[in-house]
Amino acid sequence: MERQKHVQNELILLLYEELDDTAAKSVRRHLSTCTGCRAYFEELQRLHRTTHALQTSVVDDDALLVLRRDLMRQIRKERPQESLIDRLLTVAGFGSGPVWRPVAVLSAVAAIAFLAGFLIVGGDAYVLPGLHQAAYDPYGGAPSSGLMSQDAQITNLRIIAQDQSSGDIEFEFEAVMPVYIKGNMHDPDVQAVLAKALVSSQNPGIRLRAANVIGERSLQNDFVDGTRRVIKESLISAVLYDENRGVRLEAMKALRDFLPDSAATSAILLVLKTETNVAMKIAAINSLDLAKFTEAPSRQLLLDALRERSVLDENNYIRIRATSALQEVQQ
Amino acid sequence: MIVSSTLTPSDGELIQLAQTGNLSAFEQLVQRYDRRVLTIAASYVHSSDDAKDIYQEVFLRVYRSLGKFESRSEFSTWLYRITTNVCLSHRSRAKRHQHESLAGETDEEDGAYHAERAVAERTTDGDVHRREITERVAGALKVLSPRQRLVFTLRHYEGFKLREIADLMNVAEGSVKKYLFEATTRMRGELTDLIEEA
Repeated sequence: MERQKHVQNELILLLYEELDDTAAKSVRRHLSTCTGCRAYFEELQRLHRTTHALQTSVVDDDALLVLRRDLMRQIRKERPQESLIDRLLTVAGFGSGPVWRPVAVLSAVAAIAFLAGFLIVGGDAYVLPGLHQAAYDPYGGAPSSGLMSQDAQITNLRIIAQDQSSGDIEFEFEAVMPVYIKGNMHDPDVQAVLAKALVSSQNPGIRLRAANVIGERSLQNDFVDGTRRVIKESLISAVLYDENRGVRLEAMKALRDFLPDSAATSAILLVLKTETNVAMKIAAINSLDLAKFTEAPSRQLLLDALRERSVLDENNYIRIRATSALQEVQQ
Repeated sequence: MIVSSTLTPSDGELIQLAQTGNLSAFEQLVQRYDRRVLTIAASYVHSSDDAKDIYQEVFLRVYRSLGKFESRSEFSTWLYRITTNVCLSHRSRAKRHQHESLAGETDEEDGAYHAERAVAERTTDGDVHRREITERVAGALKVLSPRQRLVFTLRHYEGFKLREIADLMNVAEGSVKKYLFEATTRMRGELTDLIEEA
């Protein structure tokens, strides 16, 4: 009985290719002479095939995207409130090693302050009049004089250690100051900062403005090939995951210029399919520039999505809008 | 100034960035592995809602523990280890509901959700027989103990080697073999009539 059990277990391991060559050969030799074990092994093979019937399926892409969106929203909610300096370091792509920290802090402050100023004041002019008086020159000014400039705002000062006798002191604070940088929208680095701001900034106003500027530049086909992909991915990420509806709407408008790219199309169609907010759905339909969809499979995806909305959507207006878009695309 | 890179970052690079709080890097890690995590969860629980719960729980745990990850093992191994732990400790929504209701009513979901999948089953209207088989197999899997089911799922459906499963579950390979033998034997018993037809 024990021997039989042992052989049956070996047959299971053979089935799953978990035996080494020598053991596998030995078991196969036994199989060629033992009808009982052969019958058992054939039964195992049938069991294997039958149970695999359960796995002739694929993960639903739409469900996966919705799950990702929900997860990232949840994580954004949980995210601890970091200090501004840390955030700047993160956004600027620096590590947090002690050696690089002072340099990184200043560079990050410069980069992000520039970005914030650029986004708040406006992206139309490359020279930003509102920032001409910036006191800190990131390329030449001494760090201490930069931080002590009259324009710097110091907040959240925290004393870490202080030696009364020697006068040594260790403290940290958050500092934001305007920085003047003259750049060009064709510069991939500037474009990359915009893309980063769209997905990384904690401030929805900055994310919104980033989406807006990207949209304007995208219209003028300003993005170079390498950055274009990064920009597109940032827009898709914002459309699907941003917790602020205004940012999602603005990103969707900008994404329109990337159509009929398949990833951009899928993102907008997913919004159309899964979004509960009517305004977002209308924006999704409006974003789909129907004239661009002349080729399969994007065209087929679009037709399927519109057809589904024209029948299944719970909102009457969306059904009508989808029907009319469907007629338009079919003409 | 940020310089964009067109190279695909490695897991290690993404983890380092994510550990400094870079959400976009974390998101890339999620996108790299979440399909597999969802598939494992779906194979294990056979309920769309439960699979989604496991997915969320896994990545939230990963996010919360990122600071402790020291790259001594592969990120994927660490992630799948968390996935197996979450699967094993997961209580299905149906059971929670049953427990919470205390009404003693038969929970219809428990039977019905066998057919419900976190994956889209590409069945046609005429494929009733196939659907029946699917439901029977899902039902048979539910008879297994959590550990037997997990080993069977990871080996049979996900293709992990027994040695890898032992590593993920933090048990000896001999124990994993034992779970596989028991699972196979019980599945065979549950599905005898189907096997004869096949």
